[in-house]
Amino acid sequence: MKFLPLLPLLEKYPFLKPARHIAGEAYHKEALKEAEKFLRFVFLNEKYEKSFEGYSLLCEACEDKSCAKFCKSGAIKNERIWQKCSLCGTCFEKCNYLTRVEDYSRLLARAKISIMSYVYCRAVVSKSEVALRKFAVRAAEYYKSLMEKDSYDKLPEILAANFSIKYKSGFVHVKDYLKAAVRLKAPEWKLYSRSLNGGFVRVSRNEFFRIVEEYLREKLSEKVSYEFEGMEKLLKIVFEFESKRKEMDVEGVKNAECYPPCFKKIISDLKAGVNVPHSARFALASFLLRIGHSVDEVLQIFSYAPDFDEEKARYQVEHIAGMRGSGKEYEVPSCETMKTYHNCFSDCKTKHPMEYYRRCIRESFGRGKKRKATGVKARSGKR
Amino acid sequence: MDTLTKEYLKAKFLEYYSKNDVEEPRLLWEREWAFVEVESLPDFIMRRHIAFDSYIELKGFILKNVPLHIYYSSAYYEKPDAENMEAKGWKKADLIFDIDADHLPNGSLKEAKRQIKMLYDVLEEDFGCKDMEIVFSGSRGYHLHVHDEDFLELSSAERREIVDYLSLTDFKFSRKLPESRQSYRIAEIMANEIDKALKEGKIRELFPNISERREKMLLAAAEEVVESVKSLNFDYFPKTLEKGLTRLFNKAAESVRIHVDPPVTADVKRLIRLPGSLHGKTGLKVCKVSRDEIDEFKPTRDAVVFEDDFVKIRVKSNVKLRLKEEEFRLKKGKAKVPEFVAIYLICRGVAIYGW
Repeated sequence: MKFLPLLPLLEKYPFLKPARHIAGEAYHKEALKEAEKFLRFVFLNEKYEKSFEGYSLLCEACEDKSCAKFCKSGAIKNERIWQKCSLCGTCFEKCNYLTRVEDYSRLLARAKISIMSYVYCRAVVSKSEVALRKFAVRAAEYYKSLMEKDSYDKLPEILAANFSIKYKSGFVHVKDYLKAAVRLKAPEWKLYSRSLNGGFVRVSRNEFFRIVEEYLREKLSEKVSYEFEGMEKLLKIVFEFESKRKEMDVEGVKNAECYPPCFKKIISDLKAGVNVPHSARFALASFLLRIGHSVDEVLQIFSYAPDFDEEKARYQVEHIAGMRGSGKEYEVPSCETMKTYHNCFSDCKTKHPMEYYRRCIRESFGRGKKRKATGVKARSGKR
Repeated sequence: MDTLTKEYLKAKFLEYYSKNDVEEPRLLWEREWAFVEVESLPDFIMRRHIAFDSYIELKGFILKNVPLHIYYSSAYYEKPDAENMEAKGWKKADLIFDIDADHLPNGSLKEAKRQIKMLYDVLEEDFGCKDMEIVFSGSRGYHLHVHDEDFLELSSAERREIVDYLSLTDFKFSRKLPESRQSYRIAEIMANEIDKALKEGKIRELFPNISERREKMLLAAAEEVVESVKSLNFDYFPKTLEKGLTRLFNKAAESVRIHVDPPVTADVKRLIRLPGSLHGKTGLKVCKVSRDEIDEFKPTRDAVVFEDDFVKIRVKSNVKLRLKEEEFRLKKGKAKVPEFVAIYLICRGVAIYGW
């Protein structure tokens, strides 16, 4: 029966690739309700609990294997060779396994509701940048928590196949590991904290799920455009969240007291006539621009440098501001990047200079310091 | 540089390129090419965003323009000759490492060689790289190119994480070192130091504040102490000896640390010297050296390509150099030296051609 072995998996993990084959608005109302619950969980911290039926891939019990001839990657022999499978879904579509019709219909309905509610959520959050980011983080976290409670032994293999991660029983290829690890700032994720052998990194089952969470977050950060009936109600939740977030935004607040130690040091070095490396200047310029300083204000700070050349500096700062070249505004480097280039001078327990700055600004508001001399300059447009 | 000197240099470079092939990088047509020409001296002006469809076309360009420096991109592009980086369409990039003697704590080419070997071996053992090339840069260091498909799509941040792994950025001593190969490498060296000190009765040199009781205990259990350190267990050393342990760790880490130049590896659009070309600031050949041959490789002997016919030059200041196993001491003024010395000095900017 079409997709039978996958149905329980698709209900639980509707982001899996084969989900698109059974998506459809057959259970629109139910899906809409489910989507609302999930969005309330993501944006309003409401409780979200769902129970799932136990499962294991029926293929393991199936002796037919007539689906094997449809597999283009040669991944189905007596057993499935997960390293060759890309979870394209073709074999599942041709599944000959039979079960009672009422069981099949129940499984199919549950999967369809889950998949469509997932699609609705993604379509809705795609309408707002802040909401999209929040959703990607929270939803990925949620699915990871399901994985952690899931005892099915082949689950890591299935997820690896879905995200094209090179994985074999507890070992993940370093290239796939790095993709996730560079965003995970805890020291245990540093590559040198890991057993790395012949290109493979040893990871525990839960660590592997943590890696998958990052892949999933990236996938969920992609916009989906889809319109459906009843969308407005869901959008309300998202926009409410967005407007609350904007009140909290500290961009455009300039407060030198809140600069992270690295930038304070770079500035004082500049003032002292120390020759500051290019990477540090770049970082400082991107930071000052990000918190709302104008190009001229940034140049003012750089003018202390012993080798200051206004024309050259202006060109470079404008480039960083996205006014030249590709038109792309450069991001402030993360703490990790600062460390690699030896521009980090203190252990301030942050992952990103902007995080340090934002936290400090919020705390200073909290302490009742008014936004007086610093002033708030609203930056129009996105981010 | 005067016109005569430029003409001489150009003629000699042309002679080299007419007789010798340069390396053909993989998918040559997906690479961006960049050149610095003799005419631009004393400025260093790079002509870039150039692309070629074939090796013949590249060779033709080199013979026609006789560049002083030849670079190609580590990156593979959809449109390598597009002027705007965005429009080029980045596909992937070789993973590149640069070990520059001038960036090393003890600044020698010998140390650079030790490091490039260590780098090669770590990439092979830990990262499973199989398709690698070591290249002498033609000046003060070595490059390593990784071509294994698995590593070509890594982002800049991911490449930087590899740099941190190699250079042990922020890797500090703790009693619970992670069970990684890098930890074991460091612990192995620490254990050997401790072993040596115990055997020579010099453990107090490593731990000045060690109690006599503890010293006796370590001596009595020497073998187990060494083995436990090797397996990252420091329980034989109480908290009071933490300072000594940390010092020992830092010293050991220093000899495991590989000083690759971070921006080179992190840059996924790097322009890199073409193997088989000449380095315009030395006249030495940028040459591939296999892992097996590198011990025997001597840049000042094996990367010299020019002849020994005598040439008249004028030296701008006193210089001392060693090339082709011969030492040259030259005083400011007129000199008659072998061609390979003349070209080296002209490229370095310390001599001009003719009397």
